[in-house]
Amino acid sequence: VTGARARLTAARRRARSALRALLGDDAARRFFADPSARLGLGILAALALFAAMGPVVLPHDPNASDFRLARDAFGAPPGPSTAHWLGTDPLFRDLLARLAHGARLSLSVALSATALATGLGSLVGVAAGMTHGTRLGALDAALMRLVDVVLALPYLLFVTAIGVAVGRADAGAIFLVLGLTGWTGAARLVRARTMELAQRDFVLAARALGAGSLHVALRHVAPNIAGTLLALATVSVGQMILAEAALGYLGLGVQPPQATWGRMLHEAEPYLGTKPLLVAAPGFAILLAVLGFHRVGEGLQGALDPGGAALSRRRLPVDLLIAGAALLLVAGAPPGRVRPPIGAEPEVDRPIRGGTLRVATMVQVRTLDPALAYDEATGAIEELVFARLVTWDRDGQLVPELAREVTAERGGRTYVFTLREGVRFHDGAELRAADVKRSIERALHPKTPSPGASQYDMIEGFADFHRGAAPHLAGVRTLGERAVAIDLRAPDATFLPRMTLAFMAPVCPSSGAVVDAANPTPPCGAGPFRVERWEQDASVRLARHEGYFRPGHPYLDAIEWLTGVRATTQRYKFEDGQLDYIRDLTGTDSALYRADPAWSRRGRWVTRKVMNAIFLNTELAPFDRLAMRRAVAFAVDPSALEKLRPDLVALDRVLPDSIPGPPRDEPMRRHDLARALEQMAAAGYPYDPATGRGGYPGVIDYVAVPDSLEQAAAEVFQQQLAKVGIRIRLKLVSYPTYLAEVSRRRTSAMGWTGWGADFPDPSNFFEPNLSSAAIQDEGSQNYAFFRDQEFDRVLKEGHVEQERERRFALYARAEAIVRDLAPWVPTHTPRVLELWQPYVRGYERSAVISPRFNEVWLDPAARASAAAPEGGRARLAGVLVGVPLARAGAPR
Amino acid sequence: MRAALLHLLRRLGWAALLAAGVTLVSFAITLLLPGDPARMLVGPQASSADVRHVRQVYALDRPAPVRLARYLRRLVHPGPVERPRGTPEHRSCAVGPLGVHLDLGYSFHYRKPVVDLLEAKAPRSLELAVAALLVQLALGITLGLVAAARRGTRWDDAIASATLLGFSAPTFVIGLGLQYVLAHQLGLLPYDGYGTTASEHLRSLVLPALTLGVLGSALYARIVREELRSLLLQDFIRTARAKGGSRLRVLVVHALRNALLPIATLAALELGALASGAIVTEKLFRWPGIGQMTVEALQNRDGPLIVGTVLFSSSAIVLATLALDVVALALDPRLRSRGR
Repeated sequence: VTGARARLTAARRRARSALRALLGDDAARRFFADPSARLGLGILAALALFAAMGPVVLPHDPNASDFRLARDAFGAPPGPSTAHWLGTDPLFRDLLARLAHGARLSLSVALSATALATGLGSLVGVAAGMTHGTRLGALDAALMRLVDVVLALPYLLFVTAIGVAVGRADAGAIFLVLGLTGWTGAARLVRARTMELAQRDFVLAARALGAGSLHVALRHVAPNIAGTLLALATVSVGQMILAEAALGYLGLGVQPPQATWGRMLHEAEPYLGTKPLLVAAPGFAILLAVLGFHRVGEGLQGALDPGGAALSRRRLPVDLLIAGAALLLVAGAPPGRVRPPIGAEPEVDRPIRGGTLRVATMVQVRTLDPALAYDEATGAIEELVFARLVTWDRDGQLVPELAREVTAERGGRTYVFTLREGVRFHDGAELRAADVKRSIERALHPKTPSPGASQYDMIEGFADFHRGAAPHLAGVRTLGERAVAIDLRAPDATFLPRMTLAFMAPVCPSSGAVVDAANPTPPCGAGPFRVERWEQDASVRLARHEGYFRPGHPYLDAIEWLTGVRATTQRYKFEDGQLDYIRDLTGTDSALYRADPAWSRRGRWVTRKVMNAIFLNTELAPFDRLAMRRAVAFAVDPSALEKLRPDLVALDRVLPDSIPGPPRDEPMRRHDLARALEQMAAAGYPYDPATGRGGYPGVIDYVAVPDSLEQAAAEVFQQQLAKVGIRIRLKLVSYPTYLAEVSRRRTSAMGWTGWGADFPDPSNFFEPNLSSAAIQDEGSQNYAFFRDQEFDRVLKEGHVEQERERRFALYARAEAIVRDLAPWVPTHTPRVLELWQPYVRGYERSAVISPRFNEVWLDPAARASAAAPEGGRARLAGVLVGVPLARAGAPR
Repeated sequence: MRAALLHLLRRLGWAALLAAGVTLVSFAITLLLPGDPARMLVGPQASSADVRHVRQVYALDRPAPVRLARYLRRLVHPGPVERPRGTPEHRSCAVGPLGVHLDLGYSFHYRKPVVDLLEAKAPRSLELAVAALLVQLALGITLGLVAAARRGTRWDDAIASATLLGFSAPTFVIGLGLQYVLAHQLGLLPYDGYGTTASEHLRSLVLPALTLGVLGSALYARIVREELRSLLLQDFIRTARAKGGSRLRVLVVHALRNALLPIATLAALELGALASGAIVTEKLFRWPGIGQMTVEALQNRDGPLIVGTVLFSSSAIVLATLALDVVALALDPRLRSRGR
């Protein structure tokens, strides 16, 4: 202890002597006489010590997850314990260790970037301000135009471009980008200040006495702008720490799992409501650095400028107290609670017509034209607006919709769709066979920028028509007014499922014969709802189609669909009764609802028809070796992800359970560390886990996108692969860059891939992603560049096989090939929690289309019995007396 | 006067030159960025045959110089004085004086003319920018004044920590915090959106403006405090105090007036930056402004929209600094007396 104290005293003495050398004796004495400045220096020294020693002293590896831990009841990572003093981050890594490691990078980048920015800015500013209006005014003008140029440069675009150019950035590059883009504000401010100072009496007096510009700048201007600069620098330190994290999202940051304070803050965002400590800890660290810097700055200024230095009274460090109080307030806040369901339990059981259903989605709707839309969120809306010839019933069986019946002829090479009588479009026109032909030709027209036209290349004459060589699609024939025959080039088991997609939905005659993307027509179909109003970036309002062919349907008057609403906002609105149904909850909020007894019976998890996997490029070293691919397949254990987050299900096979297919009693593959090590040895890279010696010698890039779930998965897989001697480096890039890189030949060795089913059929998972036909040099959909004759043959047979059991047997074989040759390692399927208020009735889960509101009705009595929303003042009173009003109020 | 006018004209010319340069640079960057605009348009699941087809429909398969030439030829061209909505040729043009047309093309994803999108969204971002700036100025100057008047006291410390807390916190902490308390707990304000009626609209404006205001006020508070520090030691302040002016009156009337130039400088920079879109805040509160659109354009590799938004935001910044120079002359007569 005495040794440590002696060292501390020595360090303090060294700091003093350094300051004395820098400021001169007098100023240094004044600085150290100021208790406020001493405290500031102490804070900065403590942070520096934390950054320097923390990583050495603290027992935890900042990048190692502790999977022995478990989420708390609210789906948030565990809190403080004796093992983890501050608890862990969302990946169960020690929070304190990550803070300490993050301190190094965050503090050094922020301080140096601030110094560069303010230094450069003040140089330019003083030079411009001093020359303004003098003979050297041209310099002022030139410098200010330079500032204009830098300011006018599109920052976002610029930084993205730099990110792409330098590839993976290190701390040095980040420092340069932040420093070189951040100086303009300081320059303009300092110039304004200098111009004003240059008019002051003391400057004029100095000039009258014959002082030169340099003398004035150094002796008179510099001391007077020091305060402004320090003020600027103080706020800039915190900003720079945050900006580093923002750069990470633009592809120009230090890559995970490396911790920085800014990134820790951002990764904690979803947990603001359930584990605020995750936000408070890095936030407090940043604030401490800023306050320490502020106090030192104040002290320096007082020391340099004795005129204003009558401040060094000992006083309460109110700023630190406030910061501490804020920390306690945030960190100590109880986890948020959810309000109980709104409205009484329903009374009537017969559907009632009327009412508006209010729902929301996180994404924005960019087109409602069924020939162009190809995303999940728009799909749910189009389901209600555009009825199809055939569709899926609740259990996932194909059933006729606008067609009265569908018959297969010529051994499945011709399908005849007989239309219902009296089906009317939203504009009143009656559906005829010609409308079906026109709608199909409209979607596949050579001038239509269709995202899915090639899915219909089995139709006779498709190639000629789509190329523009034929005026009509020969394979689609009208048989009178009420029937359409579609001829296929060969029997095709995927044809009818593809007819359920929105691309093939009949549209009104007013929608025309071709889609002019630049001049869209209003959406108009024959579904139960018509689009009444569509405000871009706000909402889509659907109203009942009075001419809908099913009498009495739909029950609802209207559906109000808010677009682009964040998950948390949706939750609040749902609790307030502004939304009737919700499915976009964050994982931790979902857990919050599941933990609430009033909601746990109502909630329902829906597994999405999406599979995520690691692709392994079979053409590129080291995964051109089968044993290496198998080693990855055995080493990765996606069940660890299930421990971290509630919003996913680990997947041990290609086909998610929600897709009908071969029986899935046995897992396709099991996590097996011993076999993974065996495969490593077989590949020629034996690895000894005890010593950590051996393994694959190189470091392999893993490409993914900076999406919260996929990033977490990648960081977990990185740890798991390291255990068998495969060292990977994460490369998180923006989505367009990701798509460009993984689809280029011989570019990415491994990375994330995901696929959402277009329709519930096994072929839709294998053919687009793993068949050799999907390989291209550029824009390949087969990211693994996997090519296997047997596999291709099985897929081809499955594609035409009409008999269900024989088909499924073929896809069981396909799955076995993927298991054995491991071009993909399936990892997880996301899931969402669906909730709806008690008065929402008739919402039935559809096996295929989710959400599907066709049969929904509202119980007006149950809805009206909901307590009138409390006024703001009542709530304020509730908050002030500490009564969680929302729980006490509303009747059950 | 004539000199000033000439100066202004020269600056405007420079602004136009800068806009042209920015357009060229951003167009070049959109061509060089990795990622395929056609792929982004059809989505990740479309087959490569469909990607090729769409690329052809949008003429994205032409060589880069051809596309640039086409863009530039259309960018500024003469045309009818009235914008003829019916003719497809000029549907994507903005019509300036004397029938000068500005054609920024169509956004791939919005499927609308870029000028129409800017026309619809720019006023909203501008509105939010002005509201946020007012909050920043009101909050920042008040706190700065108090801190200066009570310099070296607990008040000063408290203000320092409060403003620095605001400035060092990420936007989402401030924004979500305000939303939680004011909208969710107290139910005083709408959560997000733009509103349909005027009063709804004004109420929706409060949360985003407040968020940006709290975030930005720290800098004004610090700068005002610094400016006043040196001014308060000056003779004319001492004289004003000696003549019996109250402390507050002296601070506001005499001292603050002299600190207006740096404040105006900050405000102009902030206005320029805010007008080109507050990305995070707009997204948090679903404010349909330029910021969200800019990010979306970049995310989608929506070339025409990228160039359009970039052109708009750099014009906003250049115009704001130009306005600042004019205001500076008005604020400080001494600057006028100098010069050639």
